[in-house]
Amino acid sequence: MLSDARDLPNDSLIEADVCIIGGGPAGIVLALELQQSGLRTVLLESGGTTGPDPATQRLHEGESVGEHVGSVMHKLPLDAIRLRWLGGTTNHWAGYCRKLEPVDFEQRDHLEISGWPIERAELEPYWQRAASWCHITDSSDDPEQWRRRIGLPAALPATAAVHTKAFQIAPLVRFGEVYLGDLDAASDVETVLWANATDLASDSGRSVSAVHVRTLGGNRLKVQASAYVLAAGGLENPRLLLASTSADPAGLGNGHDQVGRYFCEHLQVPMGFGVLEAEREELLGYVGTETTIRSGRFAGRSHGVKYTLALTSEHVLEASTLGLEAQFLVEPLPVGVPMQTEGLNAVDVADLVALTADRPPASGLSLQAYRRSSSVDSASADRPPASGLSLQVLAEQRLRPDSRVTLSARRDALGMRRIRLDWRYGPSDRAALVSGLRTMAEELGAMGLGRLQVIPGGVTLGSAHFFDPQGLINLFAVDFDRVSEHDFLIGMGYHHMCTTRMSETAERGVVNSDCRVHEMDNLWIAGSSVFATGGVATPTFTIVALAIRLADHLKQILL
Amino acid sequence: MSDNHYAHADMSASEHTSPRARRMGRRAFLGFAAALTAAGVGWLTRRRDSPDTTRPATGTEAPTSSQISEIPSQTTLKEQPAGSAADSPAGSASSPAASTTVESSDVPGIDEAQDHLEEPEPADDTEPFDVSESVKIHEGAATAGVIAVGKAYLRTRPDEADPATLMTALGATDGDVVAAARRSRAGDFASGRTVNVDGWILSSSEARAAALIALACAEKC
Repeated sequence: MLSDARDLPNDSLIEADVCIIGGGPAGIVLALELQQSGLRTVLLESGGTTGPDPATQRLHEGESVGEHVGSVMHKLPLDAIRLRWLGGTTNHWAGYCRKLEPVDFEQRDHLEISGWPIERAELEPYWQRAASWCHITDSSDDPEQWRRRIGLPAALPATAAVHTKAFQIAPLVRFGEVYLGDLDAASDVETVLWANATDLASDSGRSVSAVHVRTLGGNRLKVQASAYVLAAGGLENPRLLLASTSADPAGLGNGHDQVGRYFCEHLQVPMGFGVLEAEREELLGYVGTETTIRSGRFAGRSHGVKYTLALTSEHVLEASTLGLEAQFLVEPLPVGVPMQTEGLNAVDVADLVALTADRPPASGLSLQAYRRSSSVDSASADRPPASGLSLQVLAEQRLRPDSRVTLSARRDALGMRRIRLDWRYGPSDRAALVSGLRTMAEELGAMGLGRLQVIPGGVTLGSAHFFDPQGLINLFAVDFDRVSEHDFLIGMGYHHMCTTRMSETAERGVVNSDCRVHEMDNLWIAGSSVFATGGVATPTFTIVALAIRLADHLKQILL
Repeated sequence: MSDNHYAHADMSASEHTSPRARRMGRRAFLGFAAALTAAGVGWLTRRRDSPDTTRPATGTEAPTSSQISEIPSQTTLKEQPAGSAADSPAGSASSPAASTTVESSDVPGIDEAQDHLEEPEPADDTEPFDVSESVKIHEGAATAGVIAVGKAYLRTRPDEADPATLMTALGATDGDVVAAARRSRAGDFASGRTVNVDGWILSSSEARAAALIALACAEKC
């Protein structure tokens, strides 16, 4: 059922078995997985069913004192990178469902902090169950399976350094919209909208006794439960722990000063462009296709399937580097616009590729139209023209304790201290990005696929469209004065991770392998803040998987 | 020498090129020009009745007539009156007496390449010299893009800006630089024998092939 905190009597007390704070994908899935289990659940959502509500969204405002927050092109405030209404960040989710890589779970000697306290295999059944919540068929990331199943071309051959993983792209699954009816119909789940959790009360510091809730209109509520779950996101989860100081001024679960540390992101940066050597059939899988779900609740709906090229776990370990994956965007080289005002551009390299390739050049638009003026009587007009390649890169960030969320002295409209985010990355992250891209460039060259340009920092906002005239990937230019391997700007993937990371001990994280706060008896955490490492996989699929796993765990211990 | 050896010589090719290898490279480069011609993908035309002016002013390594017997009949260079090579500072400084030259370039060393282009002995069946079309590339390899890649490579590796060094490093002893690049490309990438040219990660061999084409076509590029 749904209720509105603004309409409830002031100082109301709500009692339940499980209190979930946050109505994003983790909170919604957890609540609905608990329905009909015999447990009564309260789901507290700060916003309404649609959004954004400006006053509520401003509760996300905070200070950013570290690295540039936003994309490479645009710096963004903290309230612009999170969404505060039912469904949370699925309200701008692209739908990418990727599983973590094996190396993410490994202890890596060259990293100070690495590894999960659980095996990857333990998550497999939960990824499988997460598929239906995300409206995709299953969790298979094996390209060969997709080739057999829907006729996608075989992937590029795996090498020691790179391999292909398949992933599915969910249709626009806005969890708040899609599951609103289920939440409303669930008699044993009360979803309280416009309810802002401001404090987790605790007498001993070992257990939560109540959640204090306020509305922007001044209403105050209290929720008491046997189990409490923070599911408010990678920034709000540590904020609530740090702001809950009734038992300890350092906050709840923070006896080892771990809450808010290890904040990490997926590093995103346009590193350059590419040219295809040939129109390889395999590329169709990397461009992606749509397929239809054949059975089950969402039968008949279509979703995307796409290949992505990633560094192998073996290479990451052997080269003592960090994970990296690249999704391909293949378009004909553009007509009539310079991609670069200086230096070699893709058209030049396409000529070389045509000369040295084993196969016919990739098809596309005519090179002749935008060839630089030359008196050379070129034969290129007679050649099949070339196609361009652009990579969307996601890279892993090294975990570091000084990259962290703390509390600002400033307070929001509800009197809560705001977030102070100090995001940090360093030379090793930049070096891993560059070396990873170079590895991919060499592998693609060896495969006879094409050539990549790696110009860290050199791709800037330009005046000309690049590959996509519709503006999806456009307005890029190259400024060689800005190319630097040691000092280039990095953007974020808006995936806030590891701030209450899962760990064997309280000295290296906040929650244990069951997602329970190490130092607390009845407080659990859901969402990407519990990720022990960030990896390169987009997080939502794993967030949902972990929520299902937590639901199973809570049912097991509470019933 | 194996392809691998040449590729590993990437950072010091010029320092480790013996005079003999340089001579061999020169011959191969001249053969490359011949190959371009024979393949109909482009050639350098030379005036048949100007043998004296195409002789290098100096150069003890100049090939003998027997050494350059493989030079195609149409391989010719743009010829200018002596002293008019002022547009080519490097060329005019190093070979003031040479009347055959290529246009000045912003590529360090590209003008030195003319020494190697000047040496072929004209064959009897060359076309009459026409200065306006003295360098002509009809089709195939020497596209603007390839030449741009070659020039960019030479900017990053001025130490390789002479055909002999490049030919030696490429291992194109038969003069077919494109074939050599095709043979070595995949192996270059697989073995990390790559070069960074304006950020583009290219195989060393294909970059050198482009550089040779750029040098051969310096007149118009």
